[in-house]
Amino acid sequence: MRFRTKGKETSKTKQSNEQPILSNVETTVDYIKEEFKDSSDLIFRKINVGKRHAYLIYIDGLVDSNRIELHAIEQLFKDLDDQRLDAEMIEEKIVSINSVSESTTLTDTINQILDGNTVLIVDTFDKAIVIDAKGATKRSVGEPDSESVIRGPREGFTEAIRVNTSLIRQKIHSSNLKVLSRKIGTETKTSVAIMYMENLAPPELVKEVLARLDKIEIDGILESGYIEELIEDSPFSFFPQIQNTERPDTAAANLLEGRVCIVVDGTPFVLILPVSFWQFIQASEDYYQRFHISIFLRLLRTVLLFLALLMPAFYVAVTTFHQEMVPTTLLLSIAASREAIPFPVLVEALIMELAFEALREAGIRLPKVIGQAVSILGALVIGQAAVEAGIVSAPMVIVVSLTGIASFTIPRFNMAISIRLLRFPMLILAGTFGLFGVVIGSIVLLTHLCRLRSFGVPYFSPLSPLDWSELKDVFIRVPWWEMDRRPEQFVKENTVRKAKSFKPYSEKKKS
Amino acid sequence: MKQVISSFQLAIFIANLIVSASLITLPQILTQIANQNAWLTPILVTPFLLGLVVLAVGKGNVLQEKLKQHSMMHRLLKVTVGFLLITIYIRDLRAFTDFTMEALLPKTPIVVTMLLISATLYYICAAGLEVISRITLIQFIVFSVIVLSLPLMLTNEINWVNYMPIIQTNMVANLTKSSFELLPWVGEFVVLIMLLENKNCNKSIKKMTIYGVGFGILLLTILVSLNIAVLGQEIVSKTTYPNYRMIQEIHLTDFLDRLDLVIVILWMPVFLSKLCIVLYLIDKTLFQTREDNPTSMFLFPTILTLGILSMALFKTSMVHLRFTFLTWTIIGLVLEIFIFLFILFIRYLPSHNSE
Amino acid sequence: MVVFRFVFLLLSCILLLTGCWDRKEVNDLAFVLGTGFDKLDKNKYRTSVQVPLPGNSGQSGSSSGGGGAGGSAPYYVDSGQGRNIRESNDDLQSRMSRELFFSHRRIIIFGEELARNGFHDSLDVIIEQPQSRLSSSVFVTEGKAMDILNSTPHFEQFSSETIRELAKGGVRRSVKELINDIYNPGIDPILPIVSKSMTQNNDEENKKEEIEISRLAVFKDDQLGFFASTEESKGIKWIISEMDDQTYTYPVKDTKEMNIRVTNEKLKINHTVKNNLPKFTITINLEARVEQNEADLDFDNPSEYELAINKLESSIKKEVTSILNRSQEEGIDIAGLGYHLYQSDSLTWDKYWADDWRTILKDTEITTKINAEIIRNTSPGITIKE
Repeated sequence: MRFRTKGKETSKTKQSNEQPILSNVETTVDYIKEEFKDSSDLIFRKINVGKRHAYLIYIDGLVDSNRIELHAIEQLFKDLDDQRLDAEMIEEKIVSINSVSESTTLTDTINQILDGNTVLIVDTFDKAIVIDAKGATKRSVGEPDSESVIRGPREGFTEAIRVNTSLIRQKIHSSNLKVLSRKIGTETKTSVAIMYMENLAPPELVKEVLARLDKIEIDGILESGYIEELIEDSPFSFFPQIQNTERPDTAAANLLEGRVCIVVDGTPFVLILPVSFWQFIQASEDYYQRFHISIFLRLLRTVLLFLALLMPAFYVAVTTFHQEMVPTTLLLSIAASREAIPFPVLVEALIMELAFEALREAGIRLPKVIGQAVSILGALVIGQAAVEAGIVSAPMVIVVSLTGIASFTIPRFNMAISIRLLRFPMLILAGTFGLFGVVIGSIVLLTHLCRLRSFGVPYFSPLSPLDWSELKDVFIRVPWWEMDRRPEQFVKENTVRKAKSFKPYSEKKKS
Repeated sequence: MKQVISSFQLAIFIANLIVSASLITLPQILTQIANQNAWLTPILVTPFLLGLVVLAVGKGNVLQEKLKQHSMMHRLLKVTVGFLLITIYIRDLRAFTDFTMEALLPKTPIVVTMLLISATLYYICAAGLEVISRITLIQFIVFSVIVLSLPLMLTNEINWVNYMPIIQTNMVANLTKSSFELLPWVGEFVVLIMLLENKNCNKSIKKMTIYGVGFGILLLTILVSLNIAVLGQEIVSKTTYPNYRMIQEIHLTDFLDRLDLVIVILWMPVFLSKLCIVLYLIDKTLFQTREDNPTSMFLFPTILTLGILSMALFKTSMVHLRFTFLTWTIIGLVLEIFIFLFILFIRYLPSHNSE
Repeated sequence: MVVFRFVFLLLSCILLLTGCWDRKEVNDLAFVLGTGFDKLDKNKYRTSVQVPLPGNSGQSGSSSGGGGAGGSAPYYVDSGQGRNIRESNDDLQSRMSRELFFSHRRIIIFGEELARNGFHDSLDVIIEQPQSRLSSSVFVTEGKAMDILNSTPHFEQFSSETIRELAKGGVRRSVKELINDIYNPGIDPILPIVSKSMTQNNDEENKKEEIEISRLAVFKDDQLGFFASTEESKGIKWIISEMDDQTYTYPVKDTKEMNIRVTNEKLKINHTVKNNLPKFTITINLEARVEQNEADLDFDNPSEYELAINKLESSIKKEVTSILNRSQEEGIDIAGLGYHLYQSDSLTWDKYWADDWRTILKDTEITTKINAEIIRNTSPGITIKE
């Protein structure tokens, strides 16, 4: 059920590009009926405006029928002046409608109907009047499931683009916040909004983003992930170069640092670019809790990131190639537990890792009530049973579960899946060349990370083009009174966030 | 797009070139010559080196400006640097594969190790100078933290008596001989002259070069003196990899007894970055015709050829050791003197016009 | 260019797939915990190793398979013969289904025969082998080294472990220190002696062969000089400054002894040169605390304190002088007097004394001085009330 992107012919729609609306309303309505031949949810409401026939055309379900039928039409027919019937007049009369505009071509009219607007076509008039009374059902704003916090706002984006942009607007009450809009996708014509702060985001970045978005030619955009893959710098890389979030406060914080947000209609996941590697191990909660715990948790997460990537490989390398590294007593107990295991360590590790991944994937699809219990019990019971049966050894179960736990601590899911994937090549390298292979693998990985750029910003900054002042926010989180500059990599001019040395201190008590 | 590195990264390159290859076998040779006074050797060499640097670089950015021109002298300089780099690369690659065979992977055929390393180096070099400098920076900082904390980790094993007869017969003669042996190794950093045109000009290169040289010598001195203190000059003179034996002695508790391989795997990337920058400079000096390509198309065949040469030229590891410490000392010293003279000519003679 | 890179990577992957050459599974290795070297004949050596059996070690790893029936001891000892150490290792390997792995060997025992004939060849083997560690401890036995490995002490599972732990609390010489002692001029090595003794209880069934390390052996370079007795071993310990944290008992009155624990002990050598010959003064400074005051001396009373100190000093001096005399007769330099000369006066050493130091040593005059202090004692401390 995938869409093909380029090469699809667009000639079918070309011919009706410039066709104007004919004065005869019946012909126009027939044409529209032909276009929407098997769509039973298109409503044609025939009414009389003065002495003329008129049709009200809309798609059921996309409009707020209450407003149209009760209010708009009623207001329309009060004191109707027959001669002057145009958009201006209707706009004056109908006050319960958001906006009223005109449309002159058939294609445009059809697009407006598809957008969810109501179209009024009057006989002998060669313009159609578009009335905006959208009222489709939407999900209410609630806590996002994928990013929940203990302390912080509990709002999350929804699928409607206007709700999302309004959520961000509610956070940033500034006229510098600009919202550009595009429509991408030939069939879906998804609205996409590009938001940025004019005084902070570099203009070249915005231009580049718009250029890349305009180059997209695809059938349909159903999710922001499509756009992400189509505008990335290096789509073949394992690592994400665009961040996505479901929380308005994260989006607003990134906007304030000079980044660009892309809001896509139909999905609550908003894209943020450009991004650096270290952002993926930062959680929004780091900024809301006290800085002591944030420092500890960030250091812990960095260590666990390395563990999640390297621990199974390290274990395999050490027990297979470099047994001299293990302390003697530990080595003897590992040897004791491996006595009856038929597989070499590498194969055992691969089996356990694949089983763990399968458990995870299954756990997503189970109903929520059973899912939790099964994943925990499943891991324990299966692990224990496998050890008893002599298929895997107990140290391996410990290693694999620690790795799994470590990979769950990565706050952003797209980075966690990259790390999960990269574990396997590391494991194979370790099983073939021992620690030498692990070192080679990590050097190649490090080089790849240092080469990567996300919209011109080096991926591994501030560690890789080393910038000591930027490191304040990477491995630790300095208190808010110390964070006085914006990241310099992309915000070139306006880097001072607030006055320096704002450290709060208590007034000396006067006795 | 011209690749630019900062002065701090240049200093790190210099320190890397001084210390990461020298620590494999050189302390054994120094101790054989100078016995327990071998740790004085790097200290004695330093003022000499720093004097040469000050003399060559002179004031301000004149050297950088002069290097941008083209003349016969410049071409001679490039070719000499390229040739020196080729010898350094072959020697170091073989030393590294020998060490890997001894410490990490005894039975893997040496060709496989060499191919694996060459493939990795190709991937890194093809990414350009900026990437090389970034990864060198990160790895080198980790490595220097380890080396600087080695004295703390080995406190229990240090036996001050091992230094003891500081004044002994033939002391001056021995120290002179070992300084002569050490000089071409630490003088390798002159090849980085070719990087000067890639540097942005905001800080004085003289200051950063001095810092880089000083820091590299400091790390080397720490390592050589710890070797003597922990192991005693007898054992250091007899083992081919004294630093590896020394870190086997780390015994923090019964549990943290075997940290040697951990330190080795933290040293390996630093050494590989050294090989990387050497390769990049070989490619730049010998094969690159235009300024804007990051690497020439000869990079890949060069890597393979040099790798095969490093296997083929030395039949056994004994031959390689003899080459390294007897032949290469002379070759390296002569080439470095020539390079230094060329730099002096370019710096101090009136400039020629490019054709 | 991209295609070229891909092809190269593919080719190298083929190489990778042809085999992992270095892979050694954990249960294909026999971890040697301790080795014993014996000399059987002129050119015949025997190497014995102690290897743990992981399946019998009683760990809670795999319940089925592995454990269960099979020998009850968690280790076994085997040996091989050959013309030198390496060859005997190879002979031994032919009887072992798992490859010998020496990286975890932490003790080395030399038998008496081998020690008498000089063992530095065997020691060089240890330096050359990349798996061996310089931090292994070295011991000597009277008799055969293999017997020690066979003993079954109560506490630890393996006798090697017992020996290692015992050495940690007393004199311990690692391979590194031993090599430095042998090759440094003017100092001779000391090694602890490992011996077996039965458990001293009256329960005939519960007697096992325990391991004892109480005496030291004195070497002349790498050949055995003599086995010191218990008394002499105490003296040696004073000289090599290994009495820190050790207990010492000396008589104060007729049948009353004082037990002290030494907290700090240092040996200082001073020398003067007359007629190109050195004369030495050895000073031992020590501080101790009292553990048992059997004679009930009152340390508050200066004369009783003096009595305790004097008795202590004379006791130490007697032991030290006797061992120094004995080793001097044999030309063995336990205290490292020659080494001290080499360090402090290297030029003179090289000129005059280096070549025939052993003969010079026999005639040199050595004066011993002891300075002792008792710095802490158990109750009663001072008594105020009369």
